[in-house]
Amino acid sequence: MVNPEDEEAAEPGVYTPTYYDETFNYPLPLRTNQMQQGSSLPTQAMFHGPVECRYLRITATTTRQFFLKIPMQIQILWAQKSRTS
Amino acid sequence: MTSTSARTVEAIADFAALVPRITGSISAVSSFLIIYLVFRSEAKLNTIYHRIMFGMSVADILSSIAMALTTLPMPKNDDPWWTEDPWMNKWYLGEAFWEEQTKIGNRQTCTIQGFFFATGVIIMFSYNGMLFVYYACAIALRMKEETIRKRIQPFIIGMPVIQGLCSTVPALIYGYYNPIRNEAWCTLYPMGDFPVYGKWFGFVLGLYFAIFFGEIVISLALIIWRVLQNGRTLARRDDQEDTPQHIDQRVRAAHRNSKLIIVQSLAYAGAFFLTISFPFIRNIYNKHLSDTQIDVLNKLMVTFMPLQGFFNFVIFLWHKGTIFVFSIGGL
Repeated sequence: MVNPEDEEAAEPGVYTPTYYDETFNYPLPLRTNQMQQGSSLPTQAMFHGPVECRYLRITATTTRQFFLKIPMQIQILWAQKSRTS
Repeated sequence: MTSTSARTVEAIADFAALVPRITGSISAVSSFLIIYLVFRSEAKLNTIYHRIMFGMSVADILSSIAMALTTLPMPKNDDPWWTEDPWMNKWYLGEAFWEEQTKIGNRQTCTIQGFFFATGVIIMFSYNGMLFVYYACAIALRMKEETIRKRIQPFIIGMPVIQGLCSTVPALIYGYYNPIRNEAWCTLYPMGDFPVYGKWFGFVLGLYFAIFFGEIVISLALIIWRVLQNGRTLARRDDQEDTPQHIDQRVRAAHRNSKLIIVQSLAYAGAFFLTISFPFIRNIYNKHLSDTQIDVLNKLMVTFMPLQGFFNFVIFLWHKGTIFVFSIGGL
């Protein structure tokens, strides 16, 4: 499996999440009010807490940034497969 | 890890992994003591109250031990499970949280820990609600113990177990117990994908909460109504001096016992709410809380959440002690 953070494997600009934390050097999740797909409020409240959605920056202008929501791992794998094929 | 934020995260993880080992152990021992006292008592498991307390204690032992083990049952750092999702690997294990903690388990031990934790918590609060139902039947509806035993006991004793197992066994079969970032023990969901029945499970869990609150509100309303009615009856008897003394004493004892049971029921429910409130606040209002507030709530949660058994033990002792004092006073 290709590591999205591996610069040699990934094409520049395709896997470049905006929120690279300088300390940890990996994309941090964004806090949103959205519920992770597949869960629900009672389960979140009692067991797993909020699960931050992952976002991929697809482009940016001088005033705005545009993100792609990546709620599930399967979508990352699909993107990788389509890129390498 | 050298940066300040990384050290802060490590300190949070240290606290979260260490404190439940103490509080969870205290809770498990307390629940064992409740079971010991129940079996040492004259009534043993012949009263419904003792049976409910036995069920609550067994459920608490399951969840307390699961919490007390904290990160130990999690897979080791070199377990391939962590690398199934590289992003999750970094976030849940990586430099972020549990990498520095002692982990000696594998995927199966983590699943078992999560299963016992979730099952224990659900059965526990379900029994808590059933305690109210029992008291409503005994006090408000004036049902005899024998009648409750015949007609309602299967529901009171069996329903919490069914509720707990029905909601947690599917996740056990399909392997949806994982380490998560917020808790130092494995629990339901995160890590990668979510179960297809997630919404259904959420609905069922929500229904359990609704039943639990319904049991508390309706039962308390009935019990308070009965206590007030008894109080008025006693006030009338005070005016009528020809009431036989033995009947008067019996009514007064029943009235006093009802008030004691209201306090006791509220104490059990209060202990449950105390243990569950911190994760609820943190998990629901997470977006509106600062990192400091979340850190405080995390610490309160890992301290208090495993202590349910200890609180139950204190209330159980207090109840037995008060009854003993009443019996001496009544002699």
